[in-house]
Amino acid sequence: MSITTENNEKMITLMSSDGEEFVVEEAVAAQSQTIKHLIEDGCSTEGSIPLPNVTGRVLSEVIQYCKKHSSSDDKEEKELEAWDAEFVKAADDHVALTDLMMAANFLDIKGLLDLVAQTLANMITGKSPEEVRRMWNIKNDFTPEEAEKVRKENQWAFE
Amino acid sequence: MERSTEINKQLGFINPTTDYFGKLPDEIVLIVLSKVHDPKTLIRCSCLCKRFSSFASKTHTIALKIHRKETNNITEQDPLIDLAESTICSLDKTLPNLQNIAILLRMCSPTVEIARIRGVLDPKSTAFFGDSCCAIEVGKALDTFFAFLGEQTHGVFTMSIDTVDHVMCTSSGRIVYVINIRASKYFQSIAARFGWQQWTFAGVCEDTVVHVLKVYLALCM
Repeated sequence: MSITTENNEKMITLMSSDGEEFVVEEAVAAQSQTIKHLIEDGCSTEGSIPLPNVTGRVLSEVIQYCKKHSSSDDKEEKELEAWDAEFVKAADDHVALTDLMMAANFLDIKGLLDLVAQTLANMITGKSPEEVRRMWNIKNDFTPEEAEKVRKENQWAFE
Repeated sequence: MERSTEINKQLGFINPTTDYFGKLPDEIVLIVLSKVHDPKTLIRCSCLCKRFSSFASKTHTIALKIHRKETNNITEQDPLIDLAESTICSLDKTLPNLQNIAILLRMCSPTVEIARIRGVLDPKSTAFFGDSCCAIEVGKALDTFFAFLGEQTHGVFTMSIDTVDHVMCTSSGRIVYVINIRASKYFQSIAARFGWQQWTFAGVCEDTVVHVLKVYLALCM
């Protein structure tokens, strides 16, 4: 299904895993390499493009990012950086960030992937293993002996 | 229920029973880890659990953000980059398949940075060479990095620079990427000085200000 707007921009419909439909300009959707390839392969001509790995909530955020990044040119780099910072801040809980990361990976949107990865990396930086485990609910599956050995080998990193 | 979720949120975790990294595939966690620029945090991550420990052998490239010492009085004995040789050795040991170490110098105004690098490498000189001297500085910095890493690199060493604040070097491999258009025309003389056998332009980036130079190093410099 393709609809055309007044300024002749081709619109396409994306459908999330939970059945929510989003009508966006093709240029916006094509920020995603995955969608771009689907369009090129003619998958958008009939009905909407199903995105079985992305929920509506996450997809709406991804689209927000793509819209901003398709409408800005290089001259607005500074402004775009500030916008990105606000964008990840708004999504600043672990669930949203990991979901966003998964979606960016599946949809192949490099800028978004880098942005979220850097945000997650910043959250870890400077934290002790205990803090990181608590923050991300990572289960320590080392035996006490193994843990001691690993720690000894990497003692310099704990000083 | 809602309230405890709110409290958890404030404490920095949403649901105490879900392992958020657990559902991320390895390739994605590796992308995140590649953006952790602090060597200690990176090593500590390998102590989190067995899965993270296994990432150590899958890590080929890391980028470290290195702090410069805040001083106006930098000498050769007091290098501007606060990266101990032991750090490199430890990283090498913990990450056995490490091939590239990117070193991200802290952002600063280019003029200041060039002056500072110059100050370190040639403390006697007070002359300021400006942008045109980037390549010279790159070449000298390369020398300095050699000194940092010592004999273990066997003279095969690569580094790249895009803007003056981004130096990248690797301790193995023979290809050097130097990204700096202002530096390019001075490269022939640098290459000759350091005995680099061959150099070529590899590509032009976005705004055509930045070129990529691909430099093949002589085995022993």
